[in-house]
Amino acid sequence: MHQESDDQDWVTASGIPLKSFYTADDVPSAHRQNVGAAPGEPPFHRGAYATGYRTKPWRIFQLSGFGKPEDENERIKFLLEQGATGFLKEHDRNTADHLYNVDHPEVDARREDVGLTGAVMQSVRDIDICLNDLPIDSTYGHAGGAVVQHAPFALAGYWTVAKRRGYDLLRLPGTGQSDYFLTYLGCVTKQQVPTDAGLRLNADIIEFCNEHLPRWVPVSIAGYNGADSGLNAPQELGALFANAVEYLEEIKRRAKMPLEKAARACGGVSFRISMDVFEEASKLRAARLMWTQLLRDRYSITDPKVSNLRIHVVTAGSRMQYQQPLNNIVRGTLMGLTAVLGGVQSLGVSGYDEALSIPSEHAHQMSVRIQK
Amino acid sequence: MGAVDSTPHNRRVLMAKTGLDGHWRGPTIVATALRDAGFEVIMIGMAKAEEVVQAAIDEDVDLVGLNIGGHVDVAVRAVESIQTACEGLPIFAGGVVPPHAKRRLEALGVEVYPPGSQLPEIVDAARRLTNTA
Repeated sequence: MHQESDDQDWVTASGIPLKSFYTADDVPSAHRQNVGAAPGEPPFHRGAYATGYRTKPWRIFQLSGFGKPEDENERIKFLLEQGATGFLKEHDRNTADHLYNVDHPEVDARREDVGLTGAVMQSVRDIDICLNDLPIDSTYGHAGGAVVQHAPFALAGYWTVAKRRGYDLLRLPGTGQSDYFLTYLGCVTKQQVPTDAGLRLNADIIEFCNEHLPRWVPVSIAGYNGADSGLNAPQELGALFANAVEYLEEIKRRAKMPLEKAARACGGVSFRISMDVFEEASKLRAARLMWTQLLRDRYSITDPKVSNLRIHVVTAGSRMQYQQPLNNIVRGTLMGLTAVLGGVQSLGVSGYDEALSIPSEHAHQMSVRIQK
Repeated sequence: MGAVDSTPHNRRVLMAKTGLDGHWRGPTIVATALRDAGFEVIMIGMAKAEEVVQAAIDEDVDLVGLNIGGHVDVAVRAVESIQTACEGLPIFAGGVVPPHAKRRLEALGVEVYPPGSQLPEIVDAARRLTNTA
């Protein structure tokens, strides 16, 4: 016997009940005033820019790095040749996140792991080799420094290389990350930097960039690690913006720079996109709306240049399966499409071999091709 | 007869990560499942071979669970250290363990649970390895 399915039986990945269809009457009354807003207009839920990807395609931005700085440099060049439009430097986890010298007993105990997840870069010379022949004055680069304790070294190293090459830091594009969720949830270290010290480091970086590197995105809050550790979509949004509020409150307390500029600096964030297409695309739309309303209601910031959230997405590594890796190309494509439907500015598609290793050259090539 | 407690309540499992990588979800989920099955779980997180050995002795454990996140040689050193210091102490391992690494660990007598393993299967293994099946 065929039984009529009850609406309650159908829920999103986050457990939000789904009806079998919706009409205009389903738009919540509080949201009705936003419905007429065009893309590129506050609260930006329909998109950050009026003409969308017709005039400004998203940045193709893939994680990359392993081995020696020479190896990482070669892979970054390969990605740029394949069509990537920015690059991310990965540092070796043992010597970067953990801040161990390469000959530290903790590292020696895992010596075969050194360089598995990024190049070992412990000096400006190493970073210079990694950036050899790369147009860092005109290409959006991620300097590394994903966790707060490593960011000062990674950023200072990158900026020193730029300065020695004669580039004007006032015009240098790029980003670091200094993300709390990576530091305290995703990439925890054996000895952790206290959270208040981490906050001080991040506020220092925000203020320093405001003065010396105005085009640099000083910090980038990432929902990814919380999401891939179990947060659902509403929780990922809530956690990310709670973190942003912490940064803004600290900058406000220190009173060394205008809060509007700090809000702009904190407004380049990243989310994870998983396999629930409609919920995840909606999450990115909701993120832009929430940031616009949060800045308006809490801080009276209404300048659309500030309240227009810029979003990077990494597709969910946890959805890349070990057993049938080629199927991950389909999954990566679906999640990449979802991110684009949500209106991202920047995208990294996980390698199809994610569950087995860091991306092979072929997996990297596929991640770029999926986006072209 | 009857001298052996056939429930896991007094069985102690040491859980450790051999690498310095950031992948905690697997060992956390396995530790929780073992706890829920009645084991006492001692989770020491990222540990060098000698730290695993020291904890195994100090905590007088019945089983060691290793999370392997990097190169198999690192895990092999931990296994050999445990086997030298604590003769007969059973070891099982999980994580993203590729087939060649699985074979090397199995040759040392380690049971390996790669991606795709089910929690009941892992809990059953823990019961069997601690004689509480």
